[in-house]
Amino acid sequence: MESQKLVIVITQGLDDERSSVAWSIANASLASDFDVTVFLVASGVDWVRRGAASVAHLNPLDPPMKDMIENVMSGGGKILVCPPCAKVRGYSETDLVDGVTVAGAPAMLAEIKQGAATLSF
Amino acid sequence: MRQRWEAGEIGCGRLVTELRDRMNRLEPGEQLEVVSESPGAPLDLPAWCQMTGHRLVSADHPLYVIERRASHPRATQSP
Repeated sequence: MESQKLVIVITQGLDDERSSVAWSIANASLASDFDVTVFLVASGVDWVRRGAASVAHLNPLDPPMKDMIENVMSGGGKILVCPPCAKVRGYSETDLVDGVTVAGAPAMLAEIKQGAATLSF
Repeated sequence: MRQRWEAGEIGCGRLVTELRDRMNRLEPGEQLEVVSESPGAPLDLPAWCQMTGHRLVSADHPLYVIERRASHPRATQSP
């Protein structure tokens, strides 16, 4: 039985509450048996810079950002990081936390081609 | 004897993420009582049960009783 696929695009970074909503929904989706791919673009890339997630907490009612992000990975979700968005920030792969994949629009589009629903924040 | 989880006011992602973990710790057929004060629970918990196949035995906000499903047909990660 195939799970429903879901792509969540996160465009906001450490200063925008919408990214906390996005990570929360990513976790809710995994808890609801979706096959989840998170695509980080623009400032969203900052969430997987080493050390970054530990210093932000955007909604006190949400779990810590670091926990939400780690739970996506341990829960079977994929995290893709847009290559030029990372590069323009000066990040190489070693600047990013383990467990994420640097991959661009084609990787995300392949999921959509296979029937993924999409959400964008 | 049924286990009971006082979930308080947590809602949305946090509610179902923790609920998923608690349900997975039960044996198939075991039931969990969930007391949720989240205003979204009347819609969120039945929806989550429908998506995941756990059985909503009863719903009388704030008290919900959910029965653990049999192991997931795709069980490679979580049951």
